[in-house]
Amino acid sequence: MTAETADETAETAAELRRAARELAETAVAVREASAHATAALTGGAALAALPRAPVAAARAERALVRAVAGRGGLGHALTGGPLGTAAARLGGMAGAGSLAIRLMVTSLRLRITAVSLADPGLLRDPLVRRLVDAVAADRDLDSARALYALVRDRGAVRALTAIAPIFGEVLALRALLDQNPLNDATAWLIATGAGTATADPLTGISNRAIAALDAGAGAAVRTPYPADRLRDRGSILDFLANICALGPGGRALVQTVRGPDGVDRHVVHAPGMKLGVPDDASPCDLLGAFSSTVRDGGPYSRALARAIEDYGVPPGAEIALIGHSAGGAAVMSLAQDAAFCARHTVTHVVAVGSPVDFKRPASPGTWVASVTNQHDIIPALDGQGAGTCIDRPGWYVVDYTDPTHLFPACHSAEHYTANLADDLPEHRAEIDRNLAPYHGPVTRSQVYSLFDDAPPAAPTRRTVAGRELDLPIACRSGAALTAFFTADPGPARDLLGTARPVLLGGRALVVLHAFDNRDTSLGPYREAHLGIVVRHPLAVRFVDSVYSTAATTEIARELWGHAATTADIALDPALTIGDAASLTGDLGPALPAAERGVAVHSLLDGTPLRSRIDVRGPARLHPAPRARLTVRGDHPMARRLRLLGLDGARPLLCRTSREHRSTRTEGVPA
Amino acid sequence: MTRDHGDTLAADARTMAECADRLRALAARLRTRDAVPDWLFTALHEHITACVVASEELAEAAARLRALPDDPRPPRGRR
Repeated sequence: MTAETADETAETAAELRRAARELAETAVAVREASAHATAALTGGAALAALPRAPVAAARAERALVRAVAGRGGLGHALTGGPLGTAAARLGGMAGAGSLAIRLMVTSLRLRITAVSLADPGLLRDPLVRRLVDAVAADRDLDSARALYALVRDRGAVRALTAIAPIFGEVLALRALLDQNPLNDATAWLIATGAGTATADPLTGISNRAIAALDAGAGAAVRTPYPADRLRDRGSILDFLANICALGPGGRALVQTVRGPDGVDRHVVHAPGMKLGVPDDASPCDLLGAFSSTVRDGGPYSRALARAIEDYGVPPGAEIALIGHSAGGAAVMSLAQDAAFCARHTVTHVVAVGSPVDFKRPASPGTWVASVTNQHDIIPALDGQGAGTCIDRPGWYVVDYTDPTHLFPACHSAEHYTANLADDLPEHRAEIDRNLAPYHGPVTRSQVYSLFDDAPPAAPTRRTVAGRELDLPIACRSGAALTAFFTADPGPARDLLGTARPVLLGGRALVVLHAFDNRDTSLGPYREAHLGIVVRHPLAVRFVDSVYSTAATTEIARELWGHAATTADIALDPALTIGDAASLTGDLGPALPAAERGVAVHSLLDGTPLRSRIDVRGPARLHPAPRARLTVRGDHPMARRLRLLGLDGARPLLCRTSREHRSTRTEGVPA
Repeated sequence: MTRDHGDTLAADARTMAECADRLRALAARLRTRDAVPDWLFTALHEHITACVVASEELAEAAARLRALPDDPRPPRGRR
């Protein structure tokens, strides 16, 4: 391809992206009109006049039905409101027949075409073409066959690599045209580029619900590291070499660089997530990557802030934030934290292979560079990949392909570093030109190990409820079950008092925790807690607790102020909490996970307390449980469950562990 | 309430007509590019037609709603 042809192709691709955005905007306008017409039809606008003007009202009703459900105009366009939602659940009615969705499908196909112009091999691949055509034509069986053929021919890794540049678009097409209403909002977010994908495009499971599992105040502990493995000068390749040296192992590096003007500036290096580790004590696991992407801040960015604080970066000092993968999302979260930017001057952010399309720095003076390989799926975790048609004003965006783009290899920091060193010299030079104040000798380096939460303190002995206790209370062997529900926010607020519930789709997030503590310093006992997830900071407020022994009930009341009662509790084969409630039924398919700690809010004689249940051990995440909660009797927990409307409710997701270890800390004033 | 719905749908009818115009302009702009796939023009033509039809149908529904006699009962809270 000559330079002139390449320029023309790039200009046409840009024109197609602009056209895709116009089509998406048109689709949004059509969708709004459909919602208005649906509201007029289902709100009985015409039928109300039937007694007064039967003929005119009947004609108006027919005109409304034709506008909403006629095939030529808006299409089968029932959308919004209870009836529109019900129609969507039935499928078909709000599917491919709707003009809004047809417009959006055209927009997404255009984005795929734009990507293929820059990467001509993409749609020349007959198996990828077959998949795209089948998905865009809403042929379910053909889509499945095309995907199967692609995986059988290439293997899962190469198949994923092949469709990586258009992964978001293919998922959004699938979500728009399938009959699952839970993923529709995500499909529209991906298609319009209006925000981070809020749910998994295949299942519709809320990303924010999963990300909410990633709780923790963040902690950073100084760690010795061989100085000769770190670069002693500043440049983008040096910074990336440091990230490669640290590896995706839950560590971060803060360096001081003396710039050409003699001023000391600071560089924060944030490596990516640990591949293959869904969830552990480090914020750099898969859950942390997810959380860093879809939330404004998480344990990873908070742990980085603590490292910067511990390092002693002076107030107002200039900082460059360099991150790879989840590290890029975490440093962008720091850059958009107004409080952090009030303390420090974030001059540069370089995010490499990171999903950062919807993050914006708090300071307009922050220079942002995003480097992404189009065959790397991780940057598309926020729903926007190579075909994105959203603007990132003022950013320096490098979105490229290379001939050896096998995922996940192309996602590694080493691969990106090699690409910038060898294949993208002009882009590297431009990034270095902007990073010029950070070119100079490194005068200090400090490596940190990052954690979701501060490591536990040494045990202390106290007398509680008439007996001596070692705190934190340790459980050396046990089992656990956590079920997440959503509930009406009104009753949740009533139970919380002044605390504010975390809302998901307008509903409060409610948690039922149950622990079978088989080997503890208090002997064996079981406990069950009804909690509501609250924010600022993220924690669970226990609103009712049940313990299986009178001694532990007394301790819980005295130590944490829990509204605790005593009753039998069973976790196996089903969760049963005295005569109050039981969770019975199949928990459904499971994914490997790890146990998570939880920050607990409680009130002790009116004083808000914060404590932690730190847990370890392998766990299983059940993303689509079929079990249901049954509430009985007049037990306080039964009354509160009923108040939240959870009698008969099915959990949003569940987590179980048969090899559970935990420590429960004493409460400290919140 | 009925009149409010009528006014909203009348505005939407105008929006749909504007959408059709916007898509026509888009198609004209893209025709100058060689690399634009033919299927796009077919799709755009169908969308333009649908927008025009939607505009007419919404306009008719709006007119019929506006022509209905007002509900003699006062709205809630004004009794």
